[in-house]
Amino acid sequence: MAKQTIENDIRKLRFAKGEMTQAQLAAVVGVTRQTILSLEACKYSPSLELAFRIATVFEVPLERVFRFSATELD
Amino acid sequence: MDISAREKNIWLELLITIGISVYYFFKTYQLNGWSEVASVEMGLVVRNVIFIAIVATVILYTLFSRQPEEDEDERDKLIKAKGNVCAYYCLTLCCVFLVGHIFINEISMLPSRLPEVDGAFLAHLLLIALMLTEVVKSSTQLVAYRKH
Repeated sequence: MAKQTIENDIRKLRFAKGEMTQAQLAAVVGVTRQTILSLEACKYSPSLELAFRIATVFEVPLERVFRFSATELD
Repeated sequence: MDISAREKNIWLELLITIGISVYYFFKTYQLNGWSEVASVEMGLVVRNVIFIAIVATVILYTLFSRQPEEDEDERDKLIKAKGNVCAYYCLTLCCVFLVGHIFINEISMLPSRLPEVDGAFLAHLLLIALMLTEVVKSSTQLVAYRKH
């Protein structure tokens, strides 16, 4: 069985964009800070709409922010 | 632990539900084994429950829920939906159990019967089912907030 997660570089991109805080990013994309926190910890997979909104904020393509990862479990 | 205002409110809701339910069932059981519904004492218990629920809600929310709740986002809606689905299954299960009990004892012609229960006891079982549903809903949401 494979464990599937959506990994992301939100934290890196935030710091690259003038050390943007989680609260600032949350306000711009219209979610709570807890959701950004959860996304960065790879605990929550965003909707396609939210993923595009985040990519738009960082002015990068979607695949630069999110990537799909599947690891095989025994 | 980073806890949002919404999560804090669910904790308070859960604590109040459990506290009030424990008080109600403890007092009702002390009265007359859950069957004396239309008595003066029962009326007093119900009055106290309403009073305590209002006072506890005001005090707990004033003390622990000072920051305003943010608008619901997609994660909150997903977690709320998960809680509602679990609560729905719990309520359905309880209703099937209660209706099944009534069916076996009152309607069906089965030779073996379950222990007899009166209307008041059945009403209390329904109250327990509602309380259980509320607890399942809040607990599922709290677990989901920590997990996702």
